[in-house]
Amino acid sequence: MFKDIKNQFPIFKNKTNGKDLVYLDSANSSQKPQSVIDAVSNFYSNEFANVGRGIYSLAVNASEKYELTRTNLKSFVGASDDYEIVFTKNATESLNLVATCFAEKFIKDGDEIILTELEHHANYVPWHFLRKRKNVVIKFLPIDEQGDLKVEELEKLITPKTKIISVTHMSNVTGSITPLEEIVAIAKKHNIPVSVDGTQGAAHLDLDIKKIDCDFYSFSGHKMYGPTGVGLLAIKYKWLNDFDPFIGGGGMIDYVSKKDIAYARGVWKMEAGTMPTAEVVALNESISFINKLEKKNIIKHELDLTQLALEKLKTNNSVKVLTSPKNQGGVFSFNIDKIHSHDVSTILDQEGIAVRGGHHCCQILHEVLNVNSSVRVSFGVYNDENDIDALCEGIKKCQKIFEKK
Amino acid sequence: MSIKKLYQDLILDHSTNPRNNKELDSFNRNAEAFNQLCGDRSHVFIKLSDSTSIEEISFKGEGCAICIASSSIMTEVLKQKSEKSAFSIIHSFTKFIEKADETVLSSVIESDRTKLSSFISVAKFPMRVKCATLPWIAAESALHNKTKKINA
Repeated sequence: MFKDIKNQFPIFKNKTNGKDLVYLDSANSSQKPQSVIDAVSNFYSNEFANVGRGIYSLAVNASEKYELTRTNLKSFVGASDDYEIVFTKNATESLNLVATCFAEKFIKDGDEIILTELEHHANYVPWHFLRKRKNVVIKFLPIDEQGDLKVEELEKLITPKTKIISVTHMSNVTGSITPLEEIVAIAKKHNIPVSVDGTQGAAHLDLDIKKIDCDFYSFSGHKMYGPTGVGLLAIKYKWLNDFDPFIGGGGMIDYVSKKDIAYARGVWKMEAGTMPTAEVVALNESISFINKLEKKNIIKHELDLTQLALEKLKTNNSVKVLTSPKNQGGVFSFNIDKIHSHDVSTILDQEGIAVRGGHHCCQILHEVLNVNSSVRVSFGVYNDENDIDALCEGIKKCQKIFEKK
Repeated sequence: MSIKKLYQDLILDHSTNPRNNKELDSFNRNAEAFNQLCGDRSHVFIKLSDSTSIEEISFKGEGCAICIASSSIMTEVLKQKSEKSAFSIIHSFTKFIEKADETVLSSVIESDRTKLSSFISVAKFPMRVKCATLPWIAAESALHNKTKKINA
């Protein structure tokens, strides 16, 4: 669908192990288009100054660019003025902030948090920290045989002690898409805020957080063709004052005296010290990149590739795909009979194919599915049918190496 | 680097048909090592005699071909060795894998050396080094009588 798009990504000009790169690991991180790379370089070459401090022209211009990304991100996620966007280091940090700077304030010993069996460690470990500090109970919404969340069981898990629900937008292992609106509707009946781990959703799914009506949405710049080092946290405006700052320092204060300190208002209290400025500015280019291609085209492209790959892999009896979700994004994981995912990953790498082997930071899900690890395939805008053929050939090569002598 | 060099016949043989792959009926040392990257685990069981030689050694675990083959070959190599010489072999093998330097194996007897040197290509795949060293880390901890699970 996106003809010649690989030309926009310089990484594909290089060979990997002497082969053309077949990059099937966008769920891990996406490759970067030239426009984003140039934006980083251009900002440092021509426009750099620290933001939100100096009042000279260079600093004012840099501050405007930094804020422009924030404004554009709001429309990118469909947030309008009901939400604010805070820049963080990555989605992991955003999720940690929700747990530490927000939820912890309201949570007492014995309270309950609901997560799901699909969660990445980034949306479990911060809550585990809380469990250690406050003795809270973590409940997990289970998945069904197809790997989809049993949303109908959510109501049963909720008690008067449930203080927050934190769920993924899409599984980074199986591609199962969470029916967020259903979950939020149930949570709202009980007045429970919902935090969404949008790490996989932001770049690959239709995103309208106003429609979803969640309270927090965390995501990362580097998974949406943008730079590393920038994470995002969309906070429903009504909660912003309840959010405590996590890091104290310059840029996040209004007034400082020997006796007392007043924090900056709004999102600024959450952004202490010098932020990843060039990265935030360049992230604006990745938003433009996605908008130019149009989200609906990206979704269709990745879904078509997923379906084609699954169909082709079906003809290989030794390949077992972990689950078949009803509503799936551009990610799936599989195992080859009697061959460990790390062996598959190494052998495919020799063919220039980048896939992830392991548990993909989802040990709970692998335990539920009763597999030790899996090979994950995930698509981005630069993938095409040839990549799927290369994958199928690579899998045959793995089988050949492990054939009984 | 040819992939065939990594998956040599001896490694494939031991990974598909691992030796001493069970929990010992009686053991007085055991430890489990865990690879966070992939969730692989290696649990090593040792029966150390009064004269501190390894009478029996076995392993249980989940892992890739490199990890299982390394576990299996390790049990063959360390069996009947004194505790002291086991430590020395563990140390040499770990260094050999990390540095891809076969000369560190020179103190190991030839029949063992041949088996161990089949892992030479692992060093060329830095992300796979831990697959090979995981059971050895477990064995070392077991000999030190440290039973706490190790995140290798």
